[in-house]
Amino acid sequence: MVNGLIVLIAYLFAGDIISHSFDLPIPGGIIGMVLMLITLIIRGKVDEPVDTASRGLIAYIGLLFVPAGVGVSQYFDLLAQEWPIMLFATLSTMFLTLAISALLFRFLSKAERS
Amino acid sequence: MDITYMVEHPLASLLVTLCSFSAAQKLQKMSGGHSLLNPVVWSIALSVLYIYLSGITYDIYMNGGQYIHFLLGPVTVALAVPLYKHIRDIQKESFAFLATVIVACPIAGFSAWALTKWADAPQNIQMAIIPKSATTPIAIEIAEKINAVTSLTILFVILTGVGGSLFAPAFLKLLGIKSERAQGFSIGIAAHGIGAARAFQISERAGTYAVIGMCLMGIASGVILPILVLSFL
Repeated sequence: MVNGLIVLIAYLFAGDIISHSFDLPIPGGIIGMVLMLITLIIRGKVDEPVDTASRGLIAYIGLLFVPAGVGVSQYFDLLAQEWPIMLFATLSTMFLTLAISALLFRFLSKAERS
Repeated sequence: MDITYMVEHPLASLLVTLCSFSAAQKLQKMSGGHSLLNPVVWSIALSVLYIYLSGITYDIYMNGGQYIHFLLGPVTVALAVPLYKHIRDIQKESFAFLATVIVACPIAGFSAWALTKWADAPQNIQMAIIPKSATTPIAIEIAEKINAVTSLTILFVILTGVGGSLFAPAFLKLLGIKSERAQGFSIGIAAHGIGAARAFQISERAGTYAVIGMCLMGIASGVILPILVLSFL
């Protein structure tokens, strides 16, 4: 677990440093994730410590959003006023995204058409 | 007993957050996994209630909350692992998978932006809604990069996921999408992890492709959205 966490935090650190040094618009976490993916592809396997740490974190991924989500308490006035458009814009564009990705994927994938 | 010392202690908000999540998770399990009992929604609600009842500020709450919040970075990197494990499932038709995500990603973000702009919603809503289809840790990273209000972004992300898990399967049936692979993949793209949990209830296969959709959408959003926002908005 600890060794896995070391690897994950090191990749995150590298990603943040790259994002910052080259003044990239891409967040450090994403760069770290892509570097990790490339490493896994090159190595052709997931080492056990990394596997354990990532499974442990992902199992509780929901918990990790809670503190940031609690920040919504600072915006209750905004929510009270704007909730109809927030709800409508979120759900309608979710349906749009769903329809476009399902139909486009069916169109592009040979396995789906046959 | 010094009540102020007690409620302002970082460990108090840490304990409240952990306990609310644990309780909310138990509640959803007891209901058989109902989407409206999403544990993230209810543990946020309970923690907000604690803030109000105890009268502490959000900053004081975060003195404890930061220890959980900090793990969002490592978990983003950790998402590479499930994606890698499923990479064989997409290798044969990688173009179809990648092209779908690359098209869907800006549409998901900017259709919502355009709609809120058209409705003349406040600027912080217009910005915070853009990363709504990315999985939460990635959406938070994007929000920070584009200077959006993180907590509002989380609200939009969760709403998208809950909406997707409630309505997506029926909506896809209406569209005539019968293959579980296409169903799962598109649910993962549109409604990230919360949608993926629902897709696993359809079948293991649908769930697997939802995880793939979620991970690819996360990467695409993290790369494409900040570039577009910072160059054009």
